[in-house]
Formats: sequence, C-alpha cells, structure tokens
Amino acid sequence: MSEPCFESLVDTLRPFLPKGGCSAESCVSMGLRVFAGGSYLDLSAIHGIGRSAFYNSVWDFTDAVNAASSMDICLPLADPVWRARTAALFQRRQDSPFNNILGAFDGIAIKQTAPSCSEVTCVADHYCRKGLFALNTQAMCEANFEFT
Amino acid sequence: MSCLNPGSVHDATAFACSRFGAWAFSASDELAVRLISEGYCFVGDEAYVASELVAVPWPGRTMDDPWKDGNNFYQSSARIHIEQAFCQLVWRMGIFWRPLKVPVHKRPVVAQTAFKLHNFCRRHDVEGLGHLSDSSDSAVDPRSLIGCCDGVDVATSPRRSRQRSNLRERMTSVVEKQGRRRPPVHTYSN
Repeated sequence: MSEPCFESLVDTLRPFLPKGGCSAESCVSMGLRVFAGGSYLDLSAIHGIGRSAFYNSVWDFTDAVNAASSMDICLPLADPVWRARTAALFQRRQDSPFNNILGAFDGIAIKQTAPSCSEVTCVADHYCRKGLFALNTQAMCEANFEFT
Repeated sequence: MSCLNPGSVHDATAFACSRFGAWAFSASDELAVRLISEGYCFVGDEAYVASELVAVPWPGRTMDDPWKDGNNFYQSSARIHIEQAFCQLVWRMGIFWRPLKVPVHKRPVVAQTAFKLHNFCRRHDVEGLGHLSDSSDSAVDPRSLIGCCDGVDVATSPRRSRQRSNLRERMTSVVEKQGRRRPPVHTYSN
C-alpha cells in the first residue's frame, strides 16, 4: 500500500477509532499488517505494546472499517449511469459480444480452523468438499475487480 | 458479498441464501423488473441456477453447437473477473493464507473487512481505468436483449439440462447474430 493510500485510509477511519490508547496511524498499521498476514509477535514488538492491547487495536480497526459507510460494499443497481458504465467495461475488457453484464459472481472457500462443539451446532457442516474446514463466501465483482 | 454459510453448503444454496441471491431469484420488485426489461444480468458458473437475472452457461458438452459454445466462452470470459478478483484478494490478504483462527462468530466480520480493504486498495492504488469506461461505442444495445418471457418457464429442477432460461437463449442469439464463435486454438508444429 502506498503512503498516500495509507494516509487516506487513516483519515477515513479516524472518526471511527476510539480516542485514547495508540494513535490512529498505529492502529491502522497494525490492522493492515494482521490482514496482510503479519504475526502479533512481530507487530507487538515493533509497536511496543502487549498482546491484549495489540488485539484490542486490531478489533478496533476491524470495527472501524465496518463502521465507515464510505467503505461499504455496495451495488448501485438503481443508478443507470453505473449500469451503463459497468456493462460497457465488461464488454470492452474481454471484447465480448455482451454489453448487458453487470457483475460476475462466484464462491470462495475461506480456510478456517475447526470450530469447537461449543461454538457451532454441527462441526461437520464446516468441513467442505475440498478437504478442509472453510467458510463459504459468495461475492460479486465489477469489471475493475472491485467487489460489489 | 455474503459469508453466512459454512463450507459444506453448495454454492447455489449459499447464493440463494444471500440477500442478493434471494432478490435475484424472486425478481419481484420494480428494480428487478426494470433490469430484466433492459436486458441486464449477472454471470455465474454452472454451479448456479439460471434465472432471468442470473446467466449461467449451457450445461454439458456444447462443442456440437458453435453458438452455445460461443455463449459459454464469452460468459466464461466475463467470469474471469471474479476469479482474478479472488486471486488478488487472497494474494493481498495474507490472513487467508492460513486457516482463520479467530472465534467463529467473528470470522464473517474478518472476511468482510478483508473484502472492504481490497476494494479500498483497488480504488486508491489503481489508476488508468477511466479510458475503459466509455460506453459510446457499445456494439449491442442492451434493449436488443429484451425478449418475450411468456411461454418459457424457468424450471426449478436441479437438473441443469432441464433448466430453461430466456436470458441464456437471448444471449446465445446475440452471439449467433454477431457470428462470434470461440476463437480457434492454434497449434504450433515444427
């Protein structure tokens, strides 16, 4: 992520991050690194905070992302300009004969650890045909690879 | 996006359980009727059930019919976007490289956050797609895809060969009208 992009994200999330504690920049930095696959061992050492404070910051970041309306995943189907632009983009990206496509959707199995019996009613339900415990996620995207 | 279902649920069921899926299959409100009348649709793979808003490929072997095959090919080209989007998401979000270890009730929230961050990165780190958004030279008017929906019922049978879809037939007729076949595969010989 570029620096301007990071600063833009911090500005977007700042109103939704709790006051006090670590700075908005640190909170966003830690959250991004966790979502990028970073370990709490490295990150808590880099930011100089303990494990519980680290995880609190990460959940604050997660809550802020979900609270920010500007980051909502939306599908503006009622907007005729969006419809025409999206359909034309699908057509031009693939030199397709169709200019009526507004989105492509599919599912992805997100790997997860086996849930415990106390967390779910049936653990076997979470075991998918790919031979792993997973979360079935359905998503749709535009021709510019943004999820809608 | 929807991540309400566990991994054992079939894609078609998970999609039908999602808010968008339920809306697309019911197609009862004014917006859905308008989209159908303007010929718009969403494309999915053969795992999903065809409807007037959901375009899926013809089932089975279609090599004998070049227009059905062409329809499947160009629909597949559109579906590449979602496959690439998933690849970009997983490549960007290393949290998906290993099994999620957070409590079960927080996993959908984590997934949703990752999708939102992906969108944010796409919007702020990608430039130069503006020139692709010009729709002035569209080859086909979406309204040309409007067809009479009377007389063809969308079957509810899970057997793909029995599913009827006006949308799929109209899209195939567009492929035929434009003479667009699957591009030939060139082989190199010494």
